[in-house]
Amino acid sequence: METLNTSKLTLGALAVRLLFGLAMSFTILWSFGVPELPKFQQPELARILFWHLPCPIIASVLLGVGAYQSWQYLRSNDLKRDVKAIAALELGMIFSLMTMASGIVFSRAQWGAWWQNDPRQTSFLLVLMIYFAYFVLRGAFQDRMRKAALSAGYALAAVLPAMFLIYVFPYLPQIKEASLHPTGSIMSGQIRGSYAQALTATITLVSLCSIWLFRLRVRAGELELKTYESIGLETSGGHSAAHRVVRPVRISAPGGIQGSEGAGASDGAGQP
Amino acid sequence: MEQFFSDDAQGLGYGDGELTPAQWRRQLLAVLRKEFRSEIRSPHGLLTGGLFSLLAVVSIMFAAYNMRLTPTMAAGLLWVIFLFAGVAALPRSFIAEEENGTGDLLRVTANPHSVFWGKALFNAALTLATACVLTFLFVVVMNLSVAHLDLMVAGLVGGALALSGAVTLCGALAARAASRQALAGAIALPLVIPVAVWGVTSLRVALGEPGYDAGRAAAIGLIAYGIVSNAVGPFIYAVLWKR
Repeated sequence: METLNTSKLTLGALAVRLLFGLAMSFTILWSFGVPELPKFQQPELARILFWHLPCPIIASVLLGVGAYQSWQYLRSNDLKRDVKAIAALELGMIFSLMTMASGIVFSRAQWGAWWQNDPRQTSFLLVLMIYFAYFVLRGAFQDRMRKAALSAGYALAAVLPAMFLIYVFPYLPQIKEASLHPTGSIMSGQIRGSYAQALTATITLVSLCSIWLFRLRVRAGELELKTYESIGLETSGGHSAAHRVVRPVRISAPGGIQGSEGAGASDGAGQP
Repeated sequence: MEQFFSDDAQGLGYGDGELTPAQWRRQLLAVLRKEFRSEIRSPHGLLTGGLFSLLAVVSIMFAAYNMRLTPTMAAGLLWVIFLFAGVAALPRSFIAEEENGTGDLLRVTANPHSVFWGKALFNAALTLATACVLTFLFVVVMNLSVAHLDLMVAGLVGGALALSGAVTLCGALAARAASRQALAGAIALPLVIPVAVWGVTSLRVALGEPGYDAGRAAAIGLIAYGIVSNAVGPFIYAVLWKR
């Protein structure tokens, strides 16, 4: 079995992590130092944008990654693909939860209520429900292969409604008019100056962070797979390993095997 | 169904191998016929959907006593009923196969595409019948007026297609789980919400709200969603049905 040594880091990897940590710390401090926006109800809370906006973007991308990996799993039957799909969808759900949490805080501060019944808030909540439904379906099966296959099917089936909820519904004219959310503010260049710079930095760093987390989760999942395989719970194909089990049998009935202790004694000896 | 399994004299084709278009069509019709016969013998889906819908209308009658519903409210309420009636009744077609132990027989003898299409078409017919009766009842009881019958019909047909495609697939996915009926409903609902969005838009315009173009676009969206979900569903089902 392949040994996995996670305790030793190369100098290069350590330098990359250190650099990433420094960049993240700097960006966090910078995002709090960007000037307030006076047109907001609470001008200092405009900065929540830096941490709110990357979350739905990454959650949407991860939904696509999850669907792609699910498709690859169905094509190849390789459980590593399933592990990647789970990693993407778990992380996507976490980013969706962070989107909802930061959005709710912002909604309270800016619009005066925790939940505004805003169409875009509701549409993203439905995306979150799709994530939940995926994991509910996954939890309903015991067999690993069936669990992987059926949840992969669901991830593929969910692509169309998720795309509608993320990319079509918010841009419908009546929704754009009714929603309190600004639409297309990045693409139309409404975010400028230090806000644009800080937002670019946070999107980049949170994306890198999500890639790192994704890889960690995939490694954990692959380790779990290897553990199952090594103790014989599952083969590489995911099915139960068919080990031969030999049990001592004592049959004391007349005409049966008298005093047989081992399995070898039952090989035809004493048969009526 | 008896003919379907008896022999291959009619050229139905067996298993999930390649079928000629004629064999595919015959298998599909055989599954569709079998679904209708099963429903006539024990009308579980029709009774579940119908009773649920009827009770929902009666409940709204109580709640909206002495009120006049606006087209938007009426369309919203009606589509909530469609959604819940659909997810309660439609997954039944696949779940019943597993409960009756006929799922394996179907897997051995039939082609997954024709099985899915047969069941989805049956579900579409069931949903459309329920939706037509329910809408008629709702319009009469709530004293609503229909401004654009074409939009209403297009919305109901598109909605029935879209609901059947998505919910049939979820029924197939959940059919072998422990709490299959509840699970199928829970996983189907997030997938059919876009259907409700378009459905409400087309129906509220049909009931007199201004914005004919938006209503028409929504009805087209519904039909497109129905076509896509019914086209994609069999492929996903074909990959999964023997796992």
